[in-house]
Amino acid sequence: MEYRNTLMTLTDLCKELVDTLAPSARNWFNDGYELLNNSPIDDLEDTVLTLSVVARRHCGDTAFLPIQTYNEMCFNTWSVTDAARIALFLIALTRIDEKNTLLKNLYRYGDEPEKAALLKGLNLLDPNGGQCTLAINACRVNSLEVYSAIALHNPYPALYFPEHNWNQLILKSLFQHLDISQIYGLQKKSNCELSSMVLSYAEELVLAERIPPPSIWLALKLSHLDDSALTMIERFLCDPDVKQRHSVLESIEFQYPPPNEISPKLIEHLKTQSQREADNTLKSRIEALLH
Amino acid sequence: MPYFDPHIHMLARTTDDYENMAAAGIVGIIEPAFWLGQPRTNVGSFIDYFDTLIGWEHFRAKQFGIMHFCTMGLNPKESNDIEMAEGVMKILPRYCQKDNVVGVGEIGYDDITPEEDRFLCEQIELAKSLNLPVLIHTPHRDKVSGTKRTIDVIKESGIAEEMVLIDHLNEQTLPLVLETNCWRGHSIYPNTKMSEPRMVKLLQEYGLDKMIVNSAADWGVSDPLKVPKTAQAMRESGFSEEHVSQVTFENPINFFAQSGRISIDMVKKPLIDQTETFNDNRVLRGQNPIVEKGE
Repeated sequence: MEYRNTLMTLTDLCKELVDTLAPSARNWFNDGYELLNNSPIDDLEDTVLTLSVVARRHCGDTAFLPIQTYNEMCFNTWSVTDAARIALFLIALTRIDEKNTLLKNLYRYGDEPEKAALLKGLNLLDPNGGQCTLAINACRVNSLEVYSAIALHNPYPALYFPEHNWNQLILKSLFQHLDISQIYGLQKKSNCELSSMVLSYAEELVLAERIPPPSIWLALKLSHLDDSALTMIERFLCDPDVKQRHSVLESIEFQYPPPNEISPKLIEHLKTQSQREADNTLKSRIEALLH
Repeated sequence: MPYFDPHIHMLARTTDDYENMAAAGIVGIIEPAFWLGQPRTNVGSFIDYFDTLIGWEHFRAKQFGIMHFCTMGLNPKESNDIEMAEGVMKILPRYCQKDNVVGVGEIGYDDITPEEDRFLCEQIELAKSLNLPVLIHTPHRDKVSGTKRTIDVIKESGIAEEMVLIDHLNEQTLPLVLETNCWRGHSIYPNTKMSEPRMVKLLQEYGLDKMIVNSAADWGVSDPLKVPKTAQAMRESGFSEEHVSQVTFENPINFFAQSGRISIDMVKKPLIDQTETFNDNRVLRGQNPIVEKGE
């Protein structure tokens, strides 16, 4: 995924949503839009929360698939209900000066699906990253639904999290057995500290005779680490599980464009594996790296 | 041989566990204050929990022939709710001075945040002021960094290192703690983290000085019999009974004996009297009460 600079606007979101919704849901949304635009400010929070509560009954669970491509937006996990909630939250926020308080209360009083929707749309709701603390606190939840909403396919952490919190997000995602290839900005935000943390975690798992999650290798940048990391890479490059081998190879491919920067030791490992790799697709990819 | 488990969350365990623990030879335990599995939202919840540790749970353990002690503290997970954490810090000094409270803990890091840092430091200061030993939990994620930071905080605080037990250690983190005078805790779990064979290897490699094992059994998949099982693993690998007793009985008690509220001489299997009640509540549900008479 690439970083670009122009966000989706409220108008864009509403248009995409209205084009997607069934007629009855569209009417409900348009009514909600008018209600929010005409609501007294003191009633705004209550009005938007009440609309949010019933959103799913009107809009359903189908995937939200915008026609246009928008920069720094990722809709992989959005349902039309999520989009509707985010649009309603955004309408309310445009009317109020105390945006931070409203946003905090929308999160606090929402149930888990509502919290998840807010986090998925945080990039729109908080375009300057002022509510980073809310997002960081959201990462401390144990609810997988809420945690996945901030961690996966969400540009917000990559754009606004300090490095320490970004690293903790990656590590916790691995702990939660989530596929970190779905974390937006993973490659771009690799850093020495994260590589070291992830390698330690992989070593800890191996000591406990447990299998590291295959996507773990994507967070490990070999140029940040000493040769001990190569030992781990070598071990899992020839792991019996094809998913592990695939993930290790993908990690190497990400780290070494163009391939002629690969270290001599790693080249030797790859040559050895090329000779014994049983999966033809992986074999071809190894050979492409070597040549 | 008697055993002592210095880190077990019995509030989350059943009477079957107590019976099995007693049958396996466990005569005493320490239950550190911790979180409940989901965040508490007000200080009152902590007050009720602390009261349970020194009240009902202390009673319940004795009903099965096990001495129950505890530590008091604000755990790292709940340190991030600052308003609530500040409220807990106001009540902690009083609870740390209750009978059967033998230390401050378990405290430490979870996500290694500035808030966790603050309350870890404040609680170490509290322990210093009350001359209590401290039980520190190393984080389950980013363990190596968390252990290093923990050691730094201990050094910065000026607390005597021998008053600190750093727990949940493994092959990666034990060497770091061995460079200090802190005590070395290891939690033995089924299938994850640390196992009996790995623990035995650590004891063979690094010796027994200040080494402690515990089950850290709680509401998750864990085994309250891991201390006697580790003792058995030690025997099978050639350790003497004296050495087994050192790790599984004397070391943990001697660490917490620095509180002045527990000692080797004090820890003996209590006589069971299941006719007793606690606030009119009893552990039996129609069974015949066991009443043991002293000699």
